[in-house]
Amino acid sequence: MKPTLTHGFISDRDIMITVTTNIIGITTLTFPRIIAEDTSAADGWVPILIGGCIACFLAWLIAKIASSFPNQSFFNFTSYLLSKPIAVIISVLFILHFILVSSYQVREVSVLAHQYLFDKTPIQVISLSFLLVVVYGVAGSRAGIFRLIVLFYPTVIVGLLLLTLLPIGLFKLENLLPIFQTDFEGYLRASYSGVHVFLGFSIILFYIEVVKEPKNTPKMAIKGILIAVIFSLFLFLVCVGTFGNATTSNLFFPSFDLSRAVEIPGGFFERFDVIVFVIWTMILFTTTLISFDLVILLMMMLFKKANKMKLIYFLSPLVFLLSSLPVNYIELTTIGRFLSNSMLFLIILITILLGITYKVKGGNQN
Amino acid sequence: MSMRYIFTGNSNKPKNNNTNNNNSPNNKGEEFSITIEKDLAKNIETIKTMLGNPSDLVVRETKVGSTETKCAILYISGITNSDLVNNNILKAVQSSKIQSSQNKDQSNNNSNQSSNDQKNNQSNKEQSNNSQSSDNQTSSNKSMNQGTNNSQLNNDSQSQNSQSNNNNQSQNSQSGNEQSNNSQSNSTLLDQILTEVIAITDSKKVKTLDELSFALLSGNSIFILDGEQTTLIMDTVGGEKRSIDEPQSESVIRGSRVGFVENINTNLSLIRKEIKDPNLRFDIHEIGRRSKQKLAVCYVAGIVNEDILDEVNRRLKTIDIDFAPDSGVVEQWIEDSFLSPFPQILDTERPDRLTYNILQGKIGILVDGSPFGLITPITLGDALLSIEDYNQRWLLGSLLRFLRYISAFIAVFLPAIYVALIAYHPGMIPSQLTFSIAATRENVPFPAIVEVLLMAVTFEILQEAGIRMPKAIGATIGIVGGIVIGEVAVSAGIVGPATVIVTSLTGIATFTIPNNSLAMAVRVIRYALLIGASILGLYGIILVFILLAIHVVNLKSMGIPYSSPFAPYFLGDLKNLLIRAPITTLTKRPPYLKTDDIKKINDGGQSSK
Amino acid sequence: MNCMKQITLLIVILLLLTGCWDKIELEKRAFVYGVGIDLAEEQSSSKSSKIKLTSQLIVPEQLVTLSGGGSGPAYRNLSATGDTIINNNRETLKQTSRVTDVTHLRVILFSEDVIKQPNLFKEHIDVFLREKDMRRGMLIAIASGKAGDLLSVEPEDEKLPSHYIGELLEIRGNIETVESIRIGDIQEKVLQQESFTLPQLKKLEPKIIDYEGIAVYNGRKAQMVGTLKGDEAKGLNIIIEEKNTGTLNIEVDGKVAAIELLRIDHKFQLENNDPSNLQFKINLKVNGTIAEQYGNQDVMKEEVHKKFEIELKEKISELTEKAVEKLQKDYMTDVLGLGTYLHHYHPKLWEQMKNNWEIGENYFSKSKITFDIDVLIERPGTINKTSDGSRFR
Repeated sequence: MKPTLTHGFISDRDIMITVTTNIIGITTLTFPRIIAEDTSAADGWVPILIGGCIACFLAWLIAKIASSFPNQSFFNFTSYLLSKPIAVIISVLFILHFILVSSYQVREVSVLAHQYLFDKTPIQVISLSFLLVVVYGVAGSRAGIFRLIVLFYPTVIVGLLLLTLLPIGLFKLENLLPIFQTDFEGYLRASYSGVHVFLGFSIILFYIEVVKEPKNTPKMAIKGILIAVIFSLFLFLVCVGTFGNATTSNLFFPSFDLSRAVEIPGGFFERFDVIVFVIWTMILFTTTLISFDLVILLMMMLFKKANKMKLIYFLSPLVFLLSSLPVNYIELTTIGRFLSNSMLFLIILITILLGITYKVKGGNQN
Repeated sequence: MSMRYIFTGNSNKPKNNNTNNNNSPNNKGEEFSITIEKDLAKNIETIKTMLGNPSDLVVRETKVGSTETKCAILYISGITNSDLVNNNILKAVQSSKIQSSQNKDQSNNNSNQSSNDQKNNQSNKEQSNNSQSSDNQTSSNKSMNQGTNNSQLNNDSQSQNSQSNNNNQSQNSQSGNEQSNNSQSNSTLLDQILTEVIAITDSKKVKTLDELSFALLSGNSIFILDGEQTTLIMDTVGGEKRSIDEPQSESVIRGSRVGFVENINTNLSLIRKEIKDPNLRFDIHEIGRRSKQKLAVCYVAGIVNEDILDEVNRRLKTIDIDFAPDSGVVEQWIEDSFLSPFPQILDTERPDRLTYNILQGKIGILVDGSPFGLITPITLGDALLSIEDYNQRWLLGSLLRFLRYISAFIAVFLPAIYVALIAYHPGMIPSQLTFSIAATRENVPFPAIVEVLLMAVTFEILQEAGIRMPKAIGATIGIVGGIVIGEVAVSAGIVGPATVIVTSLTGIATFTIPNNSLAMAVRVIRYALLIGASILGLYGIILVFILLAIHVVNLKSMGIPYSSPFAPYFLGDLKNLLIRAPITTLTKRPPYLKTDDIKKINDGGQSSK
Repeated sequence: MNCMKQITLLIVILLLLTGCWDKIELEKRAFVYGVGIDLAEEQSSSKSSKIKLTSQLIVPEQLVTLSGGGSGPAYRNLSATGDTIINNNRETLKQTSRVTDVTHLRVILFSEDVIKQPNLFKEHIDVFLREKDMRRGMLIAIASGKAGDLLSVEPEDEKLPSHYIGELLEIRGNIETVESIRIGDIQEKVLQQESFTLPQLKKLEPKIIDYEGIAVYNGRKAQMVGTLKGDEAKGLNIIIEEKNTGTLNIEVDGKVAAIELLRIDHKFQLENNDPSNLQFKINLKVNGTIAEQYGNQDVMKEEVHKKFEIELKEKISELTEKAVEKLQKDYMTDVLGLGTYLHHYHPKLWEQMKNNWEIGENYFSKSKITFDIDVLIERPGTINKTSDGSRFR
């Protein structure tokens, strides 16, 4: 009766939802600031769209190549296309990257909690308790992880909608003006950051293995990115419209402060940020869960005989230690920038390599 | 090995029985024969010894009609309908005018003689011709040759006859002619009594003491004829049973007033009455080594997913217990994860809920002795639904469902949120309310978490006490506990009034959950969240909530994900869960069940045109 | 079973209770509801000027009358002197039995002395934006005289002076008052060095606070430059306010009448591109109703109605010109939002002159502002006239 856990247990829609959640989780908290820094007024929508389009194109390319190897692991088709040693190297790079991403996210949650909820609670207690919950999630089945993402998805979407709709009373259209006053260099730099925002789609490379019918996956991946693009666009416009460009580029977590600006009149929760904090924790949790699970997935590909639980026991202290390494927020932002750069590098590298060899060798091997 | 074990042992395990049979002469316990002898008195003695000579065993010895053949009727008083025994068995046997009994005897004698003459004659052709002036000779011949039971009624007696004949022939080599003669005459007499005299529909012949004792203990009556190794059991099951009553734990305003009772046959009939589909199936299992309860798996063939059905049946077969006092024991035995606080099998007292779910493609399980039927597989949402939702008009049904979700949320989260807000984030409460609560808490000696726990435990104690109390006092406990303790505690400055409000609101909200098992689960989860809130405030609540969510998505009910239809996500089914869409739009059965027959309504109510 | 579980849980909880770092019970917090910031009397010779912080703490027991509650004041004012606000706040901890909690802070009062010093206001709102517990909806006001004094005013109907001030700031209906200013609103303006207005309050007598006028804050100079009172305040409000309206007195045929302004729409227009001599045209669309008239005009008559409208128009143009003149000539501060308008709609022009708008070349003062006023009296009220002089004469 138990469904076979080996191949194909998630649908196209699940992959779409996962892509959206993953994108939203990684950078949404800070991206309005990063985009607003380089652009004037609300001009940031251009770089966001450009970044979204580039991300869509990359995602389509990757998904196209990957989906021509239905139900084959990442390691299998890369070693077919690129030879085994290169596949091992790439996998190791990704493993390292995702370990770092996991610990970065764990740290970010504790930073966020410290920023808005706690003063004295040791950061280790916050991150450790978060990591333990992540470990519990990873220890369950992979199908369970996808179900969890799908379960949280409506909450995330509703939360983001609330976040963008509730400040409407504070929204000033004039703050969006003047239009198109950004110089070319500003657009370029903001577009570069814009691509980073949507790099969360990389997970399709690895999860294509478990998709039931990968035929539609490229389309679904693009859909997932588009949803994220639309949300980011709205979020950015609302941030700028509510705070103004100067304030937006001056707030550390503008998306979060958006909720702090709103006071629900007569509401039981006078401050809306409670609900938003819940939603952010959920989003960050799913993202961390995905990256941790990807580490396990990739390691299981490399070491076929490895025991999943042993891997988890081995990795979680590592992630915890890495997460407590950054001393202050300056280091943390440096790491964040490094991670999104390395992700972009890895994505472009793998797209070029796979693209060329795919053209030469063709897909559909057994 | 105890002798008793043979008879209490599960009859499904013939291997066991055989070994016991072989060992039986060397038994240390009270010695009695385990086979049915020909001597009536001895048989009665055997049964009495086996049962420990109980006071409620009624043994009535009499004679068949005007003949001199002795016979006995046995039953256990209290679980048997004695009217049936008196009128339809005893009276019928006594007053039966078996005119042909002498003739029959003679003819039997003749036939016996002849058969004896032709010792070891395999065909027995003559014998059968003589033995009865039957109208279907050829068929009887066939049956004799095959030596198997015949399905046709008329042939039944003959085939029995032939069987016993054959048996007797094998015994004849040791025992005398007289005996075989005797037995044979009686065997036909027994058949005649079965077919002509006894006015009980469900009657059959048994040959082993094991079957006999099980039948006797189940409330059947036993008819033993002197000189006969075959006995009759007749279904006279009766005794005291509760009449059909309104369900206690799931009352509704609009809907059927019928609830299950302890008797499984009544319960099955309640389902039969509602589903007149020939595809309704009852798979019967027997559980309980000693109690030998009947357990029925109810489903509609053609709707149900066969894989799930097989899984249910497989799990039910693994049950190995002495006695299942309630279907709850069965539930705990076959559920997927026994560590989970969530009920993975739904219990209901309502036949209408069970039939509704069976027709959805789910599987119902009824256990003898329990007024709670089980429904499986279920999802988390199922436990929050009440059958009444479907009886109300859709708008009202949807609103009530929404209300129930809100109160479920309150029941789970309110105390935890209260503690987190009071102790960690007072900035999140409206200013005026903060000051009011602060004012009332000014003289309270305990921190919020202790205060809430104090009140919550008090509430649990009151609730538990309310169940144990006699009903007359039970009503007053609400007044004493709720009002007096609450108010006095506040005015004595032990707890703040806000805490009392929170606790009682939580307690009352718990009662809106339509399923008792889930309400219990909620009570446990609430404390987990409270711990989280008291250590890390809101952050702790979120972490515990995510933990629970992870648990739920990994949980399964008979292999079906417990978090369906949210995840895996089935949009079509949400209109039957989040809201209660109009009946005509609910055209499909739950998609996560993968039922054979997908559509519930084929034309969406358009047929009325 | 259930009971056993609960008992175990209880034990676990009691064990865990010891390790909660950020937990402070509600009754152990002292909520700050309003703060007043004054210059300290004795100034040290250090770089920054010392300030005196007066915090108004809530006494909940007195605020919410329970049976048996005392009759003392529902607040407690504590003050401390020092360089920074947060340090002063911690100074007050020396005097309280509870931890101060600023999550419910509602009103921030700056004394005139503070805000008139260059940069001091800008420096001191930093903490209110930076601190995580602070809300972005806190109200800001200027106090004539000592801010701390305003916090000890005891109104008859309110128990908390700061609550009284907060409600006072949010009342609409008088054209001399501006819409309440939230700290979140001015963050962008302070960052962009824009000028803005702030409400100015004054202690009238021990029990009453008066809305004195509209303080004008110059973003470039980072200090308050003056206060608009009376007619000037009215004129300014007619130009910039959208939601907050009030009444205006006009004279029709020697008799006083009051017009309730219902709605004012304003629109800026730049008529030329010459930086040294900018010409702005401000379109005002005023919608009003007759609230009171002492004469016995037949307001249903077309020409009387016209007369009312013309008088109102004249009154408005008089008020607005007065206000603009004061702003351009005396204060040289653009609180009208013309600079923002240029920034939004004529960004190229703004780039050239943004550094010489209110200082240096002072293009704002040099620009010419004309008004195009459109008045509509929609309704005459429910009656025509109270005294009918003509009929019985």
